[in-house]
Amino acid sequence: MIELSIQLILYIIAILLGFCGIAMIYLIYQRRYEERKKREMEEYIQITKVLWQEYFLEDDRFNVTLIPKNKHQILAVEHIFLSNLRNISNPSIQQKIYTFAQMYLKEYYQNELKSRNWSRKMNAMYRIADFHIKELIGICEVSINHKHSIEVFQVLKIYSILEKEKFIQELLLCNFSFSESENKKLFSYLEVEMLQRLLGKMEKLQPAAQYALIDTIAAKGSMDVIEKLEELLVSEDIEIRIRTLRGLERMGVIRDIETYIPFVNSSIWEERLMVAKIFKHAPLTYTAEHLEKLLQDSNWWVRSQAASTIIEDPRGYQRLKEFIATTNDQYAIDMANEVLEKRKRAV
Amino acid sequence: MNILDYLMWFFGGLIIIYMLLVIVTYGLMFFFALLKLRKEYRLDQTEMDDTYIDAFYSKPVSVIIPAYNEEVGIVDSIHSLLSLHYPEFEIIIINDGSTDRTQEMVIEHFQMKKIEKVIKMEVPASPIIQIYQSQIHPNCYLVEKENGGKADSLNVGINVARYPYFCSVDGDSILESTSLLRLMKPIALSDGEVIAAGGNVQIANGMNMQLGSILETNLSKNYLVTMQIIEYFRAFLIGRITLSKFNLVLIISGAFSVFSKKWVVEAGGYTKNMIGEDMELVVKLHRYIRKKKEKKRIEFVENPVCWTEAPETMAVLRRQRRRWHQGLLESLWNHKTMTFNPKYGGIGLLSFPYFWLIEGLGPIIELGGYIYIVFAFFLGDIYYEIAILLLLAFVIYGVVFSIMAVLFEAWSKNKTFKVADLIRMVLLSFTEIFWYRPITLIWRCEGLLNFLVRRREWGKMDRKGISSKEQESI
Repeated sequence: MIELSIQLILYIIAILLGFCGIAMIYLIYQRRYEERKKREMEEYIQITKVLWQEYFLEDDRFNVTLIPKNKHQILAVEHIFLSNLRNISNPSIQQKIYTFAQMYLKEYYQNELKSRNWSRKMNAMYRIADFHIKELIGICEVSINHKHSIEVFQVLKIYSILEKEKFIQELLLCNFSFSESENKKLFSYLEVEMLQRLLGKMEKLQPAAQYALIDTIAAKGSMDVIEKLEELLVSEDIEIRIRTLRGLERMGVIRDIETYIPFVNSSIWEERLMVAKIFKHAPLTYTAEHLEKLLQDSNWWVRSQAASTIIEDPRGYQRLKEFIATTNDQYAIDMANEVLEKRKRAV
Repeated sequence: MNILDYLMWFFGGLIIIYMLLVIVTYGLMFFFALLKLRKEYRLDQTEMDDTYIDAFYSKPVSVIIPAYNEEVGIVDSIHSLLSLHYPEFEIIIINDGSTDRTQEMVIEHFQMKKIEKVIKMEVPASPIIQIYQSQIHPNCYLVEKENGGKADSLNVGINVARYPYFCSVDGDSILESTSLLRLMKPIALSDGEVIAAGGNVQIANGMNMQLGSILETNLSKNYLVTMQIIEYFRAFLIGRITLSKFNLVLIISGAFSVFSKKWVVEAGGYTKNMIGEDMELVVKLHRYIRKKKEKKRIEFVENPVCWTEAPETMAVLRRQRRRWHQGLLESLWNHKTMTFNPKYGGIGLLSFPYFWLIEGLGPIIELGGYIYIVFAFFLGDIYYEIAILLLLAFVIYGVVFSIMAVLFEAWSKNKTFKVADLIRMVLLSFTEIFWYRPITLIWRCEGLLNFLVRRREWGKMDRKGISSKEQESI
């Protein structure tokens, strides 16, 4: 019995070590291949550097040498394009990249989309979005696994960049609940009008998408949406109210201070915090009474924000000094002293 | 059969069954880790980096560095943090009553000035003596406090932190520029479901670093260090990937991990006077989320790397391993009621038994195996064969798994490894069971003994420094 076990374990060890040996040879071969690939990419970039500059910066300076002839050269072109897209915001260069990709890289990505290797398929979809290869959208649709959220997200991202109407349709039909960050990313490619349309259909969106939509609209900063956002302040969803307050604060415009006064007495501290922040955008004459109340709030963060808001006003320094002299609330005094100290240092 | 025969059969059988259990467990972990990494192999990671580099998509983070006598590495560590590619973060260095020039060096290098700041005490911690703010990097703070230990320093950092997530980083650690971004990815993508994430810690000895940036990756020439590198690969890449997949992680390294401040505050913060404060916090969080019946996760993320300095001498390594093992046992013992407790789901039914049996008590059984082999060779006869069987099991466990971990790491980092380093590590793996494994088992057993007799040992690693500039100065 023991002899048999020893023999069995020896076999197992021999097989495992054999497997490790083969894996090691494979890894060494792969490493050499990677080094060769890197060298070839560098050589291509070196040879075509000037030609690419001319192509990007001057009209009608296309040279056939730029057309990549093998996979390594395609990867080098990808590298050049991504560096330009991520670091330079020039519509003319961007358009040239899109045109080139459409002409000479489309076939490569089409084949990559058919790959059984998940990473290669995903990388191809990333590049289709980066290089705006519109003609491959149909192939993306059929090549993804519709049960896989990452793949569905990538296709939605491609729609939001290249086919916005379809994006809205598909988003409303989508069963996946993407995270807020993912939704923000999807919405960030849309224009304000599109976002406003989505705002009208907000109840059909998942909660994370609703919150992301409010954040994105506020970040775009269009004055046209302020009224619609203010309407959301009466929502029953606390998070929507908080997000809307935060969004309006970021936009920095107060149309009517009365809209915000009820939040001074809100039972939710986050709402009181946001309103203390929003009051930065109104003269202290209108907000002082409310801010002093918030300075004595039970929540530390609200007190801290109220003090910061007061000190930002030109009359804030004096107002805080007067407040310290008249109040008995030690927590409020500490907070007021901290911002006064900060101001002194800044001066 | 006499009593010696009975004993030899009993212990022989017990150790072999244990070794089989360990081999099967590690084999399964390796398999799941391979499946996960295989899927994402060659996926363009920079795509994600670019997506979440904008503050609009990410969450702000307070990076806390507890520092006690870290004058050798602290400046480089801060430089590495300042060069992080992350949209919104602050750096809070906690000087835990250092007796060397840690504080002076930070003040000088980063032009720190005293500031007044009202701090909300969210978790119990020692009082703050003074807070400084850098004049050149306004997001960089230095907090001076009396010596109270690492956990106490981290608690102070939590109180000072402004942001909803905090990242704990050791004073001697160096982060890669994309590390924080990648570590925060599961948190950003989960909408709060992931409440803590730990990164991959690797050994930096021998690397060429300057001002917190890695210029060249070299394998250390010190065999003890190389052996630890192999050990880290095995622990992080094989063990933690699988445990994380099933939300069973009990340890995320204190050298580099991110936590949701809200959850940590509710769980009571770091526990003072514990050796393994990082493990203790993770276990407390698991316990708390089960109590609250919330669906939350704690994850290990394999691609963000934190470089740290490993002991280069036997004496320092011995002290470190003794402490680590004692810390592990203390945490397991503190929460012993979770073991086999179905109320805690997989954590109680799988994680705790795994950590008790394989990580906690494993060294005694394994060391017993080594002693058994020596005895059996003297006794001869049938025990000779049992000894060979055991030795072969050790070969699978110690040699084969180590080689697989090295190859696995090289495969997952296809673009960066050096062939000569790979061959050196594979060859060294063959020697592990003859020297490194037995000595570390003895040290871990010492840790177990310290735990049993409740002996306190506040070890401090003697730093050499990992950057080339630092090493030149020594």
